[in-house]
Order: sequence, then structure tokens, then C-alpha cells
Amino acid sequence: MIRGKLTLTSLGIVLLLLAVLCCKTAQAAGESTIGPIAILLSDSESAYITPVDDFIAGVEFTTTVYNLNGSINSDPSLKKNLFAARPSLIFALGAKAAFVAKLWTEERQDIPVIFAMVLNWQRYNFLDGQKNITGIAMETPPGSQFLTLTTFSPESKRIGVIYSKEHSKHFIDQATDAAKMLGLELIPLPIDQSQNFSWAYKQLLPTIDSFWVLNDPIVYTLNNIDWLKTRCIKDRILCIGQTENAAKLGLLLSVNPDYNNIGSQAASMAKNILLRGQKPVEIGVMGSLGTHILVNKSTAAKIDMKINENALATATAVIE
Amino acid sequence: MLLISISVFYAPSASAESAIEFYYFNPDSFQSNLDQLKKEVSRFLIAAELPISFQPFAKLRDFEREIQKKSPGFLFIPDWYLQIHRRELGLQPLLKPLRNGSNTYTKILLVPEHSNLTLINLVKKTVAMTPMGPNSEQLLADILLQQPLIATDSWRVINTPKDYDALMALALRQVDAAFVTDDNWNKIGGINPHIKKSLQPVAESLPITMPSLCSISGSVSKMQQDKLVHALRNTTRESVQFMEMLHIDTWKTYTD
Repeated sequence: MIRGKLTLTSLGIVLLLLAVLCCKTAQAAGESTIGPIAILLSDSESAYITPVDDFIAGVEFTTTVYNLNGSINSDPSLKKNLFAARPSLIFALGAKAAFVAKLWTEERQDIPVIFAMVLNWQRYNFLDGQKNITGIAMETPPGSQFLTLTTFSPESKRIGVIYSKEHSKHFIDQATDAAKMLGLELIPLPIDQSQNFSWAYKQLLPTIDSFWVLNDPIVYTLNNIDWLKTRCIKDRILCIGQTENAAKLGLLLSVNPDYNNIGSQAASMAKNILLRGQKPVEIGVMGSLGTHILVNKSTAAKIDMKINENALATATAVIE
Repeated sequence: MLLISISVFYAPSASAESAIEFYYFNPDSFQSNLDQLKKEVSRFLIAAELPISFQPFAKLRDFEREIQKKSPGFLFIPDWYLQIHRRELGLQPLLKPLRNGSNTYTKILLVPEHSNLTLINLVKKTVAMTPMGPNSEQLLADILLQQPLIATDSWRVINTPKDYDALMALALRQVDAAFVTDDNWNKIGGINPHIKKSLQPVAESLPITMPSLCSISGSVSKMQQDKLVHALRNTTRESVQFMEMLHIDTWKTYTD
């Protein structure tokens, strides 16, 4: 009787140990099904180095870097090699890599793609027809610029902007929505030639209390900016630009993406997709969340604008 | 013999002080202008006649890479970093800052106004926040521990370099929630009415210990440690300006 009890107890212990072993194996198998991440570069652009390094450091998965070297045809075996590694996700940097990643995953939409470092991503229709694509826009969302403007000038309500329909229509639509969401009014005026910029500015001036300079090739010329910085001071109006150069050239404020953060942001997105079940189609294209805010104090002094010390502390750089 | 004596007397000291590195990493700080911080701290160090070179870092990765390259003498680091790396790096806490008499701060969980999101139903929602290290999910669970079953590891965290970016992301509805320090929420909300109006706090963390000034064992002598500590606790225009940049009132000797 006692021997029988011992046998049953031993059997129970063995079964219990087997059950634990099975659970651990299943758990390990689940974790190991997250395959390596493929990092696909358009070429050897030095601007990709930091985002790639930060992405690799942030994801904590195995990664392999592939390089198109400027052309989809430069290495005929690249696609085969990439898919042979069974990637769980593709991080594509640059327009070519993003385009190729979309193309290659058309029949493999189980593989998510995150793109980054693509100027004017809307031109390429990356999201059309596929649900596995998400990305980070290279431009600071207009809403971020307007919010920063109101951080420095809370009384600003009407923002003027000059643009060309050819290059910036879509962006202006997005900006108008963003302004509305923030309780501001965007007052846009289109031009089709650079030399009409000064005329357009004078038309807008009576109706605005701040002015936003777009990175539009018709608008953003050295002549126009040179002219504008003088007028912003003369008219005592807060002018904000989308690039660091705008503030360096004399505008009061610029808000542009913190490119050093793009890799980290992509890593967060990759982990959310692979570990937290988020779908690329739920994300769409995110704006670059890190911002680089440059304030020109000298310009502020010239327009008699007193900058709140707490607002100034939000700037990542200041021109004295 | 006379020549030898003279040359020995005038021989440069083998242990002449070269600059000691002082690294700073403080993602929860309100101060985003690290160039300005570097200028002010350098001014303080020069005024105190300390051969210390100050370098702030915005990114954890850059900070850790430089530590690997050359071990600094001093660090100003978040408490989570101290707890994780204390033994491995031989970190020796020297001073802790105080603000309004306290060595702690809290972080606030914010969601859009009129949102029905709470701490409980944030599962699978995106949360923007500054990095809290490799164990951030566990740390989140610990400091927001109000109900043991909150699954903070199912939050979809998006790291931002600074709280201002996290608040902007939420104000623009790019994320579902933001987790920022109480100090930054009050300051930024105070200067931007839209941010203040469009967001609502729904939870507050347990107190978090503020960053501390540490040295690395073996990197600096006790005398060098004491010199810096003394200079920081001495009330001069430069040391006060340094404290203002960190938004602290005073320093206190670190005790565990």
C-alpha cells in the first residue's frame, strides 16, 4: 500500500515537472517566434547612422542591415537574403528603401514595415493599398509648430502663411486642421512665383498677429527670407520657420524635428507592434515627436518681445 | 649636482591635475537648453577653481557610450540609473538635491480632456514619456502601484526626449496619454493655456527620488569629491545659478 502511494506520488511529481517543462518551452518558443528585424537602407547616407544605431539599441532584438546602395538592382540577391532571414519587421530608411519595402511586402503583409527619413512621404503613397506600412514623417507636424508658437506668444491667434499650391497644398490643409484644433486661425495665401512673396505678405499683414514660413521652394528663398526678417522686425510680428536656418537667419523662432530621436521613436513603434500587438494601420504615419526649438533672442529684443523664462527653458538652443 | 637639484625642483608634477569629467543625464529636467546649462555650470566650476569639465547629455545612449569610453569622475543621474548601475559602475552618491524641502517628485498621467481614459483602461493605448531605463515597465508598475493588477506592460510606450515633447504629442492627439513630471506639467501648462486646457490629469505616481550627484569609486580622490561638494553647497552667485537651472533649492548629503 505504501509502495503504491509512493509510486503515485512520484508519478504526480514527474507529471508536474513535465507540465512545467512544457510551459517553459512553449513560452520560450513564443518569444523566439519574433524573428530578426531587417534594417533596409536606401544607400550609405551618413544621416542614417544615428537613427540606425539608436534603433538597434532600442529594440533589443537581433537586427541585420541591408543596403540598396542607391538602386533596387545593385544586388539581385538582396531581396532573397532579406526574406531568407525571416524578418519579423522591416525598418526602411530613405525613400528608395521605403518604396522597395512596400513593393516587396505586397504579398507579405504579415511583415510590418516602419519607414523613416523620407522627405515629403505623401508623394509616394506608401500607405495606399497595404495595411502593413507605418512610418515617421521627417517634418515637424504643423500642430507642433503652432503649439510652440503659442508657448512663446500665448496671445497669437491668427497665423499667416504664404505657400504654393504646387508644392504645399496638402500640407496647408493639414495645417489648417491643426490650427483649428488648437483654437487658432490659419490664414493662407497662395503664390505661384517667388517674387510675389513680398506682395502676399503685405496683403496678409493687416489680418495676422504672427507669420509662419514654409519650406516651400517657391516661398523659401534667400531673398524672401532676407526681406522677411527685416519686415518681421519693422512690423513687430512673431515669425516662425520650419528649419533651424530660419532662426539663424533672423526669424524669432524655428521648430524642426529632432533627427537624433527618430531611431528611438522607431524602436518604440517596433516594440509596440511586435510585443504589444499594435497594427501599423492603426498608427498611420506619426509625426516626429522629438523637437528642436531654436529661439533668436536678438530678434525678440528688436521687436520688444519679452520671452517668458519658462518658455525659454523649453528651447533646445538659443541665439543670443 | 646643482643643475640636477634645480631640474628636480622645477620638474613638472607627475600628478598635475587634468580636467575631471562630470557627466549629466536628466531626462525629466525642465531645462531643455543643454548648451546654456553647460555654460552656467562651466562658469560655476571656473569660479570655484575646479578642474572639472561638464558635459550634459540628452540621450541615454550617448551618455552610456561616453561612460564606457572614459570613466568620468562625477555624474548627475536619475535615481533609476543609480539603482541599476550602482554596483556595476561603483557609483558613490554624494549629494541629493532638494526642492521645497523635498528630495522627491511625482509624475502625472495625463489624457485628453473629456476622455474616459483612466489608469485602469489604458491597456493597449499609446503613452508618451521620457525613458526610464531598461526596466521601465516594472518601474512604471511600481511607481503607479495603486491597483496591483494594472498591466502597465501592455501600455504602448513611445519614448520622447523630453516632457515637453510628450505633452505636445498628447495635445495634438498623436498619442493617447502622456506621463510627465508634476513640475513640468505645472510649468508648461502655466505658459501654454491650450496645453493646460486640453489635457487632464488622471493619476499621480508614488514619490520618485530626484537625481543625485555621484562619483565613481576610484575615479576621483576624496579630496576632489570634497572640493566639489563644498563648492556646490557654498552659496555663490554661480552655484545659485546652477541650482536655478536644475530647479532646486539646495543640496543635502546623500544618505541611503
